[in-house]
Amino acid sequence: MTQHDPDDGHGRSPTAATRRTLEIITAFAFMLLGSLVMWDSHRIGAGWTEEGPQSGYFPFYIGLLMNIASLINLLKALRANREIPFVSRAEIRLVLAIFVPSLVYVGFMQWIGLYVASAVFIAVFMRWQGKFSVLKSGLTGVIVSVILFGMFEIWFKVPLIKGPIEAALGY
Amino acid sequence: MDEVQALFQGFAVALSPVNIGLMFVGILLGVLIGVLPGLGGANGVAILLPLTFSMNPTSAIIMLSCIYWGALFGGAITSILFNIPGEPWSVATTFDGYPMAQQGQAAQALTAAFTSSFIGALVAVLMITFTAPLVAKFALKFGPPEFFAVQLLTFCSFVGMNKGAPWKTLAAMFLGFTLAAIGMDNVTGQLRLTFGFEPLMKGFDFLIAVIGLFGIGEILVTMEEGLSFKGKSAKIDAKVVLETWKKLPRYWATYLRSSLVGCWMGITPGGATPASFMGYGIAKRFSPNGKNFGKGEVEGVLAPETAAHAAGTAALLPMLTLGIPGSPTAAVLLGGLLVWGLQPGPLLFVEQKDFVWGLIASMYLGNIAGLIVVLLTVPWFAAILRIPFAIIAPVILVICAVGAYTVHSSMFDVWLMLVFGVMGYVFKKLNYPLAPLVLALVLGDMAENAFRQSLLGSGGSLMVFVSNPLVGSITGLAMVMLLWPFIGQLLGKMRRRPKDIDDDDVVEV
Repeated sequence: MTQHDPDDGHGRSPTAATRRTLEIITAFAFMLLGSLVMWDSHRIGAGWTEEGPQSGYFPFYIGLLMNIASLINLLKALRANREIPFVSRAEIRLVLAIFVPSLVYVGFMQWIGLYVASAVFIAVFMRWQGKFSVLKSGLTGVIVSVILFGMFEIWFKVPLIKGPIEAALGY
Repeated sequence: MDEVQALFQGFAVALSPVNIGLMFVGILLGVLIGVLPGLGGANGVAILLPLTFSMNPTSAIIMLSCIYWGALFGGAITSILFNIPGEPWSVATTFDGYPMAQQGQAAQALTAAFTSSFIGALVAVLMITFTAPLVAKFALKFGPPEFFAVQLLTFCSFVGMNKGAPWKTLAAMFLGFTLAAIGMDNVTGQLRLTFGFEPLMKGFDFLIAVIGLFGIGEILVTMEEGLSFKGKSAKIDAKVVLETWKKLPRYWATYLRSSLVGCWMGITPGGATPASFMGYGIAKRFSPNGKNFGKGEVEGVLAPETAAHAAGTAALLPMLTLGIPGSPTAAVLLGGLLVWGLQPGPLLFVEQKDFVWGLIASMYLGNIAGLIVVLLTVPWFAAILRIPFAIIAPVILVICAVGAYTVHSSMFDVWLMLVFGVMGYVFKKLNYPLAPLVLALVLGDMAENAFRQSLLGSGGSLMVFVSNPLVGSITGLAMVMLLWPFIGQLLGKMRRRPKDIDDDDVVEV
């Protein structure tokens, strides 16, 4: 867990965002997407030709309906209680504790390959969040990667993304 | 009795040593998936789907559907022992299952849950065996308007069945249709909604969406709760099993009600989760021990389990006969059929008899295998739950990343999975349902094609969807389903009852 948090994970930590805020953001995101869909469908043609409905015909109405539904969700959200929390600070810290490393993990996967990235990711997360010993963490990471390698590269012959280390080993 | 004969041929297909082996592998994997947080039926099958591309389709679907049965069984283990529903459809099982475990009756609760799951599935498979060929025969007469009307009914049922926030259901559904439309329009070849961005041109693969929404989203939600598993241990011995079995027949009426609710909710895509809540609610109302529900009544365990498993199984009926899945997992299986080159729908029963009946036979065998496996291996799976979340979380994330990558061997998909993960997290917390989103994404192209072909036939008039009694009644039923929440509200207001249910209902798929 994180160091400087007065009360950890019991829902008494200060609210990071209210539910109402998130409802409003989500409804707006839906409406933005709905409008984009309508605009793009209009651009490629949302009407009729001799061959029947144009490419934008169906998506245009989907976008329109999405806007209507989201507008109602937005109006409901505006009237909602301002006190109900969506997520507390302690909670969002825990969520980010897995999500940020995941971003780094996927970023590195491109360069060092999935197997090495996975082993490092598991080991680092175990050491950092689970306070496991370096040996246990490292071993778990390596074992998981070796199992994956055996399953995908050797047994099922489904190649995953590989980096320089696998290349040095002849794969 | 054509069905019985066909079924026996199916048993001949399913009973090959390879298929029986795959059945057990599937069940074990499924229970594991059902027990672990972040891996569920839908994304578990999605992750393993690419591994089956080279297998023979019958063996592949037997294994994948067994994963599904396993996951349905597995959800009960965590609910009863740890008060943590491993799957959304086992939330209702915690109500009485965990109190029973606290009173030292964990083994009885587990036996009742597994046996009830089995009975629910059995009723649904019997229903599939005898009604599927009829539905398929009937559906052979369907033209594009009928198909579109059935899909309309499917989607409207989501609005009607999910109490709570109909507008959120609609928004999520339209998002699914939008994602399905991205990429090449398969009629005109025009690019849609790609905005010149190259990776979008091939469109979204729903497998990525499923892995992200259900897998990563679930990990984030679980992480937030700062998981510490404090569970009861379980040992099941033959004596307890037999004693519990002796008690079960007296609940035959509950079984019957829950099975019917489950079958109905599975065919109309209400899904296993609402079915389990309904099964629980109905049992509570009718049972003489209704007031003891929530304190550790065995009837409160068997009612939701029977309904959930019946619904999960019945969801395969519309998938096989109409090509319209009744649940997200059935949608993933449908995606598998397409990859193996099988066109789901009524013709499957004519052209791919071995496949269909092999699958149906494997449902009987798979559930028997499932019952045996879970009764024997419960302590082992309960032990897995004692592994700290600091190990489980990154390992499941890695498995999800591998699953997303193998779909198209594309790094873009892995990033997309993370985006869908955040979306799944937010949607789950705001009660936007994920099932209609996934189903719309899977069925979007099919629905659009049926819609366009219908309009082509009618010259653009929407009246084609009410042009004959068949299509008209399906469309009419769809409209009733769509307007159901509003009709309900209206009736409630007319009776001047205080509004006791908030917009955000607990019932979520």
